Amino acid sequence: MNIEHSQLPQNTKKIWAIGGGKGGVGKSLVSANVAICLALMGNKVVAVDLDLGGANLHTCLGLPIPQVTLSDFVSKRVTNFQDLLVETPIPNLKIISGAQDELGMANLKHMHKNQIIMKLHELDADYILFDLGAGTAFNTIDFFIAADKGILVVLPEPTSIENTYRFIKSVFYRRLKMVEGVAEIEHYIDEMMNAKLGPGSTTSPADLVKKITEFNPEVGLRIKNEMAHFRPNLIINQVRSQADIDIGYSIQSICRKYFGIEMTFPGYLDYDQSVWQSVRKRKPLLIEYPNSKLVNNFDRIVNRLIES
Amino acid sequence: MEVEKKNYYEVLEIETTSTPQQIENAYIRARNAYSSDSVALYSLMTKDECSSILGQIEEAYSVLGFPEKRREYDRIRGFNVGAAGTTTPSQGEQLQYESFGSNSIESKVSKITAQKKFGLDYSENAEMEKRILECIEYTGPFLKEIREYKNVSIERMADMTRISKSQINSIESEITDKLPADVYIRGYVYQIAKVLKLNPDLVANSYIFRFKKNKNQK
Repeated sequence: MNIEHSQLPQNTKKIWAIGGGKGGVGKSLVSANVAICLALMGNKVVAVDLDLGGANLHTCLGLPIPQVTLSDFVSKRVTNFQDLLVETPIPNLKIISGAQDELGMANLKHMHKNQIIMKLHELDADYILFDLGAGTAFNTIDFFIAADKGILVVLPEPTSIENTYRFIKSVFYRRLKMVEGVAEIEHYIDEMMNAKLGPGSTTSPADLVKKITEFNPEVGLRIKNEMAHFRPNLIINQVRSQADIDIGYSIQSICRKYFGIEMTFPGYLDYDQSVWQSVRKRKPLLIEYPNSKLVNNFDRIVNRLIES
Repeated sequence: MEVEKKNYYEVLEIETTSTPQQIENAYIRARNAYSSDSVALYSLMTKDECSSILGQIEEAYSVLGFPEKRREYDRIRGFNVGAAGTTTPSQGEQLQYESFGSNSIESKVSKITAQKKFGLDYSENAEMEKRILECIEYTGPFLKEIREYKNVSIERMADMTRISKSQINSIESEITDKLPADVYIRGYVYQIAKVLKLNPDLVANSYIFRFKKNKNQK
């Protein structure tokens, strides 16, 4: 199972995980630029590329393919975790790169995963950012849960929204199973979980919790406490209109009804041509295009994330 | 999923002390979220569930959206007892949905990034500064002189203004036949002046004035 937060060294450093079900929605771009924002504000930042099967955070930051990656640590070619840190052109910002083409790295073993999470918590930094991969593999979900703050990047498109809900559902059930006493009623939950997501399924996760509470009030209360900590932050990317922004509020409301969870909506990112230009030039967006509306977008999002 | 019975404020996801404007906004947002063409609903809820939720939203608004009906509802349900909350905006009430419209947070990041990109690095020369200050008619060669004085290479100028190197050259050496129409030239000179932190209006106007005069003389 997962590492409890209490087992980890306590300090003021904050860990933010950036995920979202679908690929190509801008997770690495958001990770890179949020990291730059935090670093420019004077924080010590480490951005970690945990997209183990398809790492490209370094590209968004304008770095060449790094020489050392997480797979060197897993395969014990590098024994000191500190040695994985790679300097970037931006002061205060270092990155740890994900695996490159290492067969099997995408399916990290349980033991390695816990070891990596432990080591990441020990890093000397004010902020540690996890750039997660697409999909809902257990590794991705567990890295997401291991962070203090989860950030979901969504495009205002049905495919992205569908995968976001799927991702939230996976995190929801993963967290649910971590709750003490849930193991005994697991078969009941599995039955629910395997039911199709969405229309046609008769029970929403919120209803499930309600039913568990009726059935076993003690476990029900514990689940409610656990889910009170599950407050993902939503970022809508590539916004072209007010209607796109409103989707954020809609998702907030729908998640409250369907999952029974509260979501924060720290902001959106305007659709901007310069994004793909900056990626193509392999230069960080915020540094390359300071006049872009996106600079203000990121400014607002990061400030709200710090405050919340 | 099950649709449970909630009070009207819960249906609209607002506080019982909300102002009429907050109720109005919440109603519009809620209706957006559960209308049949809402993208945010995709894959999660059936049509029936949505129309049931929409029905609740309409019902809630049909009461809370009208001050008199709302007062009656509050009285029966025991909300806002002894408070004038339904008519006057309550102080300190956190807005359910914050507007993203205006952003008062003046943060450092935009400034830092702009500084990195547009900051000029040169040592000041009193005589040159005086010439710039007193100049009322900017010529191509003088613009070039200022550019070199402020340590901006032609590559960097091209990068920042998105004007091609050859056209910057033409503007600086005033090779008229290589330049596009007048309106474009004005825009180019304006951009160049901005990068050099000159008064862009003065520079562009004086440049284009001279430019047109010369052209007419030919």
